[in-house]
Amino acid sequence: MLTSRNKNIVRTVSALCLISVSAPALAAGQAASFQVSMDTVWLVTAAALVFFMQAGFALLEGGMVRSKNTVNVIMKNYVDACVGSIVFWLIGYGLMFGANHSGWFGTDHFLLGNAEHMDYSLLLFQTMFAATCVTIASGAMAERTRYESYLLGAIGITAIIYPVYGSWAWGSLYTGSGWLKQMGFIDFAGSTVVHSIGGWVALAGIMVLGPRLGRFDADGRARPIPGHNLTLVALGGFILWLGWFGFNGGSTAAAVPSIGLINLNTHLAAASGAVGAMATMWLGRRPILMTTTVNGSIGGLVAITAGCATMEPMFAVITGLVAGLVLVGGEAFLQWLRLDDVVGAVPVHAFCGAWGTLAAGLFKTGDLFNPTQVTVQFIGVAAGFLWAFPLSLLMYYAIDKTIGLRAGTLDEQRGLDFTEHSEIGYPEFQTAVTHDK
Amino acid sequence: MQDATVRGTARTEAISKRRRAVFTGLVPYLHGEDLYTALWLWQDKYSDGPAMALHQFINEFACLIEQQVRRSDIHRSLVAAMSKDEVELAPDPYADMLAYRERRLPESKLSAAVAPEDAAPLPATVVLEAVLHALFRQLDEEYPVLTDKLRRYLSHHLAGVDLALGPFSELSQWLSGLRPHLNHAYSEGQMRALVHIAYVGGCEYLGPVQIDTLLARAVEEAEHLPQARHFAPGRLL
Repeated sequence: MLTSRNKNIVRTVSALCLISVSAPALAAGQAASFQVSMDTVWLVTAAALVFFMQAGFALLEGGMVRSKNTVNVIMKNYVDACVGSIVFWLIGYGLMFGANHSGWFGTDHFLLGNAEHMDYSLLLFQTMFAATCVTIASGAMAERTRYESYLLGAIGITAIIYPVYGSWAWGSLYTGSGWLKQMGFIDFAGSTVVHSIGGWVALAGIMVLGPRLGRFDADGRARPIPGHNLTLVALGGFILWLGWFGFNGGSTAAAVPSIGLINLNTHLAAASGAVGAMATMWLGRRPILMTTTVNGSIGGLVAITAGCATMEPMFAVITGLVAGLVLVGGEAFLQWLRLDDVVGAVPVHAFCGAWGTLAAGLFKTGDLFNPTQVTVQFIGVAAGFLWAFPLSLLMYYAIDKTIGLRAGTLDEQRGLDFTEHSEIGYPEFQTAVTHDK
Repeated sequence: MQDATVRGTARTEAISKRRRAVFTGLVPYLHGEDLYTALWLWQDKYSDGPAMALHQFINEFACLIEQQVRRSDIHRSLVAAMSKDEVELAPDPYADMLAYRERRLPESKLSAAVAPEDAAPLPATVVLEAVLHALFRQLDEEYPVLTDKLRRYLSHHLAGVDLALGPFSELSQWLSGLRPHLNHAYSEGQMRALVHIAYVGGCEYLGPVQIDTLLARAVEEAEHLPQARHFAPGRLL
């Protein structure tokens, strides 16, 4: 008679025998299914991390504006995610990733439904990217843009400007390919596709808007208009940094071992971006500003986004360090041009994105400093500028001439929280009330 | 400075266009005294207001006028008029509004009646003077070079405010130091416009951060006046 312990042993041995007999067939099927599940879990988690970046942008930008415009800028970030997601599902995803036979734009997968599970995961992940791209302009154009007009611009970006360029570099997920992709353009997670495009749109926006009241004195010198809460800025910086692990790591679209290198490069570039910005300020005998340091790390993150999967960590550090330099120089350049970019979005996203895209070509593992690759990268950067900048200039100009882009000067005095939303960010703690309570 | 002048002119034109739109929207529903009461209410209180204040405007004038009105119809009519091209709008009713105000002066329900030269100034005028005075005094203490500049800036931009000749010259003289006090009555819209011009000038000369602080302090100071119980200084912002 078998004891209970022996019965268990027999059962276990029988099970093992069964598994060993059917193992090859079962294992292959199960492994494939398991891999798909792992890929999906990673992609959806990464999408959530990228979504969290929206909170990072909101805090960073909210902290960098005066308290009377906090609600307005946070609303823009919040609603960018809402409107951007719907518009991207309606039009953007199809234009960007649908079948791309011409090389210029996708032609199907609009209003995605009745699709494969992985399609939904990819749409979710890419929707977060679209939301990131569209929200870049909000900080640059803060404190003087009419809310409705801004939202109209956001729709234009998510529906046309971002996805069309994206289809050149990344399309298609189905059939056909984008013309830049065919040339061998490297932009792994979107230094140009997401960040430079958003940055060029922001540049067009601030050019049409003009500077805030009193930003430059009669001699053209920039007057500092400090943000109201630098704690929020730092927290926003940390959240963006965290979210970027999903942004870059998730761009593998699969749970693969290379995520380790990708996210290590991401981290190193962010750290060296901050160090590069600090070193540039220090060498220029300027105060070591926290806002610029945080922007330096974001500049590093933007720059490494293109080449995080295709370069060694040492080059990620170099990419980040140079991004810090580009950021500080870019901020000074914009001020010299009397362009008022409230949060430094143009240097961070447009300039550092352009640098990072070139760096991806320069520092490609096994093919360092290949002039052909660098030329392709340059073509990609130039195409991004030539597509996004004039088109958004035209878009914002048309908005300005029809419904008006810029808020009135009285609105600037009162603050856009009051005039655009009838809500005050800090009703109990306002130190300088310039509107009727 | 040139930018600010251009903005001032553009603002006056924008108010004129919006006044024409309000007039166009109200004409099918209101007439006579009720129409002008509503127009003056808009001019004094809502001409600089945010777009969403339209509801508030309709609710407020519906309480002021005698005629029963359907607020939803008027709201639709105003919204439609606001989106019309300039050529479709009725002419600017401002001259008629002024004539109406002169006719109705003694029994006007509106707060912007013109006080006689020798009468005590209205609380609102005292508050306006106190706010501007506090702003200039603080400037004098902290940035003495800029006080005269800002006074001149305000003088140069008075034309951007819809002022009758009397108040216009009184303000010009007061800003030049030729008159110790203000005595005329000004509508809330006019006073708000004056403070705003001072703010824009302050932004040009001093920067927005400092002028935000100075203006807020000036308003806080004026809140201690006895007249502030009748006219809250915050209404000038």
